[in-house]
Amino acid sequence: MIPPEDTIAAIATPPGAGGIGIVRISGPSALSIALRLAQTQDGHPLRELPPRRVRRGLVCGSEDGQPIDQVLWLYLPLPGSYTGEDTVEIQAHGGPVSLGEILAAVLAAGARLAEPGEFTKRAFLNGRMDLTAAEAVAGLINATSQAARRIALHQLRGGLADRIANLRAALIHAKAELEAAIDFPEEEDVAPFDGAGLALSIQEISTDISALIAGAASRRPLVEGVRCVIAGRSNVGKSSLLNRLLGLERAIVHHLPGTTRDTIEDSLQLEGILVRIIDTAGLRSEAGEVELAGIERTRAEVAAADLVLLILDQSQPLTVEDRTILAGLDRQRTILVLNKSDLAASWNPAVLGLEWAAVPAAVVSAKYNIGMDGLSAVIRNAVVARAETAEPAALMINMRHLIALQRTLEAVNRCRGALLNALPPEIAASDMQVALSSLGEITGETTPDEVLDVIFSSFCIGK
Amino acid sequence: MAQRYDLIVVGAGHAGCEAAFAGARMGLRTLLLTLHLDHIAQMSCNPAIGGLGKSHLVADVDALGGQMGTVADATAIQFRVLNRKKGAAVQALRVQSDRAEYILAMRRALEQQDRLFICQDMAREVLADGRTVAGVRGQWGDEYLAPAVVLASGTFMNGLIHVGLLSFPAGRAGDFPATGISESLAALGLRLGRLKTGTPPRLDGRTIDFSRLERQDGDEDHPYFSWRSPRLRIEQVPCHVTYTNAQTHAVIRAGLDRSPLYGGQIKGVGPRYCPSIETKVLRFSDRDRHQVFLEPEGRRTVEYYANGISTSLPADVQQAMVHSIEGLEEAQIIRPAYAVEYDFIFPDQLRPTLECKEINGLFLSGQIIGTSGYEEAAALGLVAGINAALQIRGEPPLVLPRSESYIGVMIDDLVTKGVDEPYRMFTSRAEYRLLLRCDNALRRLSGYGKRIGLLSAQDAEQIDAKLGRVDDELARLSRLRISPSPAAQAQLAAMGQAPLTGAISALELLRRPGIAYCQALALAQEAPREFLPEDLLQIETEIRYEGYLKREAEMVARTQKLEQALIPDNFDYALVAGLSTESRQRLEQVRPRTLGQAGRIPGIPSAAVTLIMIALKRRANHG
Repeated sequence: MIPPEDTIAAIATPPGAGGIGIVRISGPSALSIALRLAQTQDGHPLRELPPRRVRRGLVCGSEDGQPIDQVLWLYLPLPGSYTGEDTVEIQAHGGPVSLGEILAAVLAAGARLAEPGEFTKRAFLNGRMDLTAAEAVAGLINATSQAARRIALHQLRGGLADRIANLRAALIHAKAELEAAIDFPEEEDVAPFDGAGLALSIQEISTDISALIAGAASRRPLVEGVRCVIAGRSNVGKSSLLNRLLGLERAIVHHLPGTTRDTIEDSLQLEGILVRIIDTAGLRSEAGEVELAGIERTRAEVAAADLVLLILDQSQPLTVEDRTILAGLDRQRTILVLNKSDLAASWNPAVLGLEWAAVPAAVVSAKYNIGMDGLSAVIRNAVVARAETAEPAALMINMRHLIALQRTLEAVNRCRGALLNALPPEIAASDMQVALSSLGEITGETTPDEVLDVIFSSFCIGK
Repeated sequence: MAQRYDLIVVGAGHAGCEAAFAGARMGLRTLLLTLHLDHIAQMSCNPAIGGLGKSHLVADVDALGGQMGTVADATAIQFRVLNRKKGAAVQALRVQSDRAEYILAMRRALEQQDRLFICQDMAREVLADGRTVAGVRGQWGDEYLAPAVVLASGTFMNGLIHVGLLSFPAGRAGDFPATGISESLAALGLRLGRLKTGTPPRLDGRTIDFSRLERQDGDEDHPYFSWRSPRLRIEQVPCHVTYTNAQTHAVIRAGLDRSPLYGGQIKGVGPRYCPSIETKVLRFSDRDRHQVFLEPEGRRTVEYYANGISTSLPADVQQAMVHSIEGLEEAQIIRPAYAVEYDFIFPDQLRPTLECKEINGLFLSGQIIGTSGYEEAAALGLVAGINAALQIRGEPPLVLPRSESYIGVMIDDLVTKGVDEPYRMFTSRAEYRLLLRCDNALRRLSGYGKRIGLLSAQDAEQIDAKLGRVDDELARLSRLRISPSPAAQAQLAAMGQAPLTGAISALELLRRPGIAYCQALALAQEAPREFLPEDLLQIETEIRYEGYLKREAEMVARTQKLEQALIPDNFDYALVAGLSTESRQRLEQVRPRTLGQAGRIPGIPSAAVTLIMIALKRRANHG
């Protein structure tokens, strides 16, 4: 018998979607999780979601019931969904912060954060996707997973990386102490099992993790990846550039129907770093109030960005609007993209002034696909440089890491509770095992051999 | 004239005996070859069976229908329960055995087994017909032919004993080494390596001053390894404990110039968990003493095993070292300590059935595949014998999952990760430790034993009845109600327990720490039933730790899909798009049997497993 799968969730927004973001929940509990979070516009719980019909409503926190956002709910029963499982999509106003909060609520209500490519994997296993498509997606995951692990540690450079490493070492030592007491009860060198004493050192570990989580969460709540904002006035070619850029990096999957909404494809992977592209296009299409709101929003996105791609049309003279945007940018975080190189240039970059001379720039024609490799390399360098120089925790303790830390903390606290309640050591060890495997999401798996290594180097075992 | 059998087992140690019993009991005409008929099932090292992880293996062997548990129970001279104050999952029985009686009992059982023939000869060569085993050639040139061979030659292959700077070929002190067979295996294409192990001196008990030593008695209230064993209470024999001291350590340091271990003569890798005394003194130089357990070798001998001072130092240093220890000032060494180096076969060349991937019908088991310990050997021998028999009967193999047995954990570790020191079982190696208990071994494994025919119909009936009594009692406990009557509250208060807030079942009450089965029944005003200790332990454990057991069971369920997804033998990893060269090479070497196993190969990322899964599906779709 094949056991039922668990229910997964992730932000599944296609890149460049501007104001709309989607959180997708897939698996047997998708509907029940959704119903725990769904409310009508006036704040009453939604009792049901009609299949295949868009329903307007609110999404709220699973604990406090406070509304997070106005959203559209869409329930797709199996097998007629992308994954072939029961699926609920929450279409929200976008903005990574609010999407992050929605996802957090979904996870708190019982879903698990999807692995990269997991929606696609399920789609494939449920016969919803052909093999070529699935292979392409899996190949991409495989190619990036190694780099991602490397970069993940890269991201955690500085104090944070050390703290995570110390945390892992402390957990392994606590586990080793438990295991030594269990497996070597007759060794003189192994102190008899002392649950209360061990609970004290585990308390310290617990405090450390809490501090880590608090620090990370206050810096940047639930935001994943390098935020890269595409800026520029209308008609400079933002959209075609964006499509070019995404097509370039995701040539394998881009043309596959249905794959563009999966979590791995919804952003760029550069050197294994997740780059979330935030397109400010479309925000200024209307006049009046909406336009003002759009400009304000663009400004906020630019301010919160890790990188800004400023697109300028080199075939037309610089406008006042171009100058205004330029003046508002932090040059340390900006890349200049001089578009429309297929047409005659009407100005020289020197006109931007000396202060822009050192800012990385690329000359391209998005329309004719000229210079895109060069642009890609410039972005890549900037992304890596950004990852390397970022303050600890400031750049990213991404959502996956944060969830891993929270699970670790829960397990560590259960372990401590087991010890304080005088439960036997193998029960506490079982909780500690869960803690280590949760932390393993960040640091890689801890094998029994690593624990044995610590035992044999710390204790004289020899009966 | 060649002799023909269905199965030939080479070596009659703990692995070989189990393999031979399994083969013969499953219907094969089985030949068991031994170098020395009087040394069958010899305990080359300490005269004890069981302990943490090891008693779990014996329970597994017993539940499948193996022999070790019954013989160990019948020849024990001391029973001890380790971790008695901890939970059921990590409680372990260890017995001190009467070494000579163990040999006799095992030989008697072998001789009474139908279809089993024993012969004293040394296998010098494995015979193969292409990539298929054909039999073995004995030392006088005789050919023994069979479609399956289980090799279980222990530490004997090119065994080399070291005592100080002297070394001589031997499988064990006093026994010939097995020569020729390593070369024949290498010629068949197998990779061999070299390991080392050691053993301490044996002392004459008449020259030990026990009066000054700490005495260690057995436990009166103890379980047995086997469900079959009669629950007799025997008169137990004590062990004693003494300690090395500063003078001992000085003697050892002074003798290091003649240590083959530190002089470079010994090339094989020894186990970290069982270091020689010289290694302990050097590596843990801050410790001013080390324990020495004096274990009796039997009821009718004065020989004592000095557990804790294994060494390869020269005989005169051994003598001085022993004499420096309290209580051993006058002790006579009956047999000197020594180290032995031997050939082993890297176990990643085996399938989880213990058959060589490259040579059909050749099964390897015991210490020759890099393990250490009698219990590990017996478990491997049993599985090798079972799978040889299943193969000859044309039935699907027996591969035990990690989630169901310590045997499954051990074999999966060996064939997936290989070894870099002799492998010994520890309970920490089992990720589902709470589920793999001695008390529920029959529940976990007797179904397999029945199916393959190692447990008879009569055995099965008895086992089912035993398991049924536990199930019935669990059901009864959930039905029995305890109401918060003044009498019940008073009884609880007297036990230091919180009062009841409402009526609860006896089962719910048993979830409270500190409430025992009899107490719960007294509160329910019902009579307790009689249970064997392991069954009572099972009842209390299933109730008390239900939440934890459930969590592990859920973890098992989550991995089932991968664990059950078989990768065909002839699967071509070169056709898997996107695999890194490194991953491909590792996969081609290990040739995992399932996707789950593939994911446990060191260095294989989970994305690679997904790629293989997709390639398998493609294969299935394209026929």
